[in-house]
Amino acid sequence: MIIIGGSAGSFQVITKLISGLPKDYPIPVVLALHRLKHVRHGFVETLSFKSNMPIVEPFDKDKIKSGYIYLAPANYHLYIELTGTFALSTEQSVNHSRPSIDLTFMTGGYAYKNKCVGVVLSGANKDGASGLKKIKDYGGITVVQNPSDAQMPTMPVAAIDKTKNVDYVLKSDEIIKFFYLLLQK
Amino acid sequence: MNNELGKEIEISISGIRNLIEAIKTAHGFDLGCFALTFFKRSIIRAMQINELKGFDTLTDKLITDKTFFEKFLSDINVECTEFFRDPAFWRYFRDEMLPSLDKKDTRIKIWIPGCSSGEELITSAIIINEAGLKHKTEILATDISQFIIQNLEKRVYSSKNIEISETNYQRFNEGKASLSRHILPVKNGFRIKNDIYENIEFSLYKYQDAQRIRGFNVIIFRNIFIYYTQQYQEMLLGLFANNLAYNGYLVVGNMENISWCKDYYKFTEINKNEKIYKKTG
Repeated sequence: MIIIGGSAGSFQVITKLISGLPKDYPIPVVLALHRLKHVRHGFVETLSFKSNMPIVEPFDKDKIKSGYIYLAPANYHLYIELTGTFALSTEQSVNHSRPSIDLTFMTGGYAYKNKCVGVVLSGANKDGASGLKKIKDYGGITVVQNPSDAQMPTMPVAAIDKTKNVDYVLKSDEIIKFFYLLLQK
Repeated sequence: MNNELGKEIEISISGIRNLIEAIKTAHGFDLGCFALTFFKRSIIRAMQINELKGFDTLTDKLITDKTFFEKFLSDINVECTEFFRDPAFWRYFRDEMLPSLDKKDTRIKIWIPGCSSGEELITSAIIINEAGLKHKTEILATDISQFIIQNLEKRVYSSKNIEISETNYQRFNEGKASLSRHILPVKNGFRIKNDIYENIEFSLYKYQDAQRIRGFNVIIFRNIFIYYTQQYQEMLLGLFANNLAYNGYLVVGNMENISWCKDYYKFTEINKNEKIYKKTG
C-alpha cells in the first residue's frame, strides 16, 4: 500500500503523481490530504479528471482493493485496519487536522508493516512527521518530497528530521519513477 | 495530545483480546464490540488521562475497580466535537423531516442513542425549539455510560470548538442568527440555556440488555457505527429497525454504509448524501 500525505502546495504534485500512474497499477494508493472540512463534494471529481485509476472516498469498513486510489473523506480521520479495511473516526483533530496524516500513516504502517510506503509532500505544518517515523519503525518504506522541490517545505523538512533515516528524498518526477520501481520489488 | 503521538504506547493484539475476556468475566460487558484501531487508541488515551504506567496496570484496575471501569466506558466515548456538523443535514431535518412529522394530535418521538457529549442531541433540540415544536416532541437521549449522562446534565461545554460550531450554525441558517442566542458564557466555556432541555429525557441504556422501548419517529445515530465492529453494527441496525415506527427516519453518518446489513431491506434510502432512511419494511 502507498499512502501519500499532502497539505498546502501539494495539489499540483498530487495531480502529477496520479496522472502518472497507469489504469492497472496494482498497489492500492491512499491520499491523506488536508482539505476544507465543510466541502464534502467535488474534490474526488476534480482529482478523477487527472487520473487513470478510479478515485473513491472510502466508506467506513470498506475493503481495501488494488486498482483504486482512495481519498480520505472531509472531516473524518481515516484509519487502516489489520483486517484490510478502512475505518473512519470523528475523534478530535490532531495537529488541527481532520483527516490527520499522522493517523493514517501510523495505522497503515502498523497494518501493512514492510508492505507500506509512506510519502510526505509539500505542506506548511508538521503533520505526517510522527506517522512517517512509525512507518519506518514498522519496517515500511519512507519517501519525502525534496524540500527544494516543494512549494511549502515545512512538512517535508519536519518528516526528514523526525524520521532520521528517511529512505528516499525525491523530486516529484522521481517519485513517479519510484512508484514504477516498486513493482519490481 | 498533539505531542503524544510520536511516543505512543505499543499494545499487542493478544493483550487486547485478554483484556476483553477479563472484562467480560468481571463486569459482563463485551468490549469486543468496538472496532480495533479505535479501541486501541481509546486504551492508550485512558492510560494517558489516568497517568497509568503500563497496560497491565490498566487491565488490573479495570477488572478490580467497578467505578474505574464505568469511567473508562465514558472515556472511550468520542465527542462529536461540533454542533450542527453537516449543516445540510440539519437543514433537511428542519425543512423536510420535522414538517412531515408535524401532524395534528400526534407527538414526535426522537431517540438519540450513544449521545456521548451531546452535540447531536443539543443540535436537534435547538432546531425543534426554533421550529416551535417543543411542546409536541419528546427526545430520549441514551448512552452506555452513567458518567456521560451525568456530564450531559451539567449542560456545560468547553469553548475549544465554538468557532466551528458557530460557523456551522451560520451555514445552517444562512447567517441569520448566532449560536449565542442559545448559550450563556461560563468560565472556560459556555452553558446551553435551560429551555433547550425541557423536552429531553436522559437515560442509561446498554444495548446488551436491549429491548423494544417504543415506536420512534426519528433515530439519529450519526458517526457512531464507525466505532463498532461489523457484527455489532448489524445487531444495532436490527435493534433500530425494531424500535422505529413505520415510516420513521433513521439517520447515519454520511460516510457510513448500512447496505450490507441483513436488516437493510427494512429501510428505504430517501437522501443519499445525508444518509437518511425510512423504515418501510
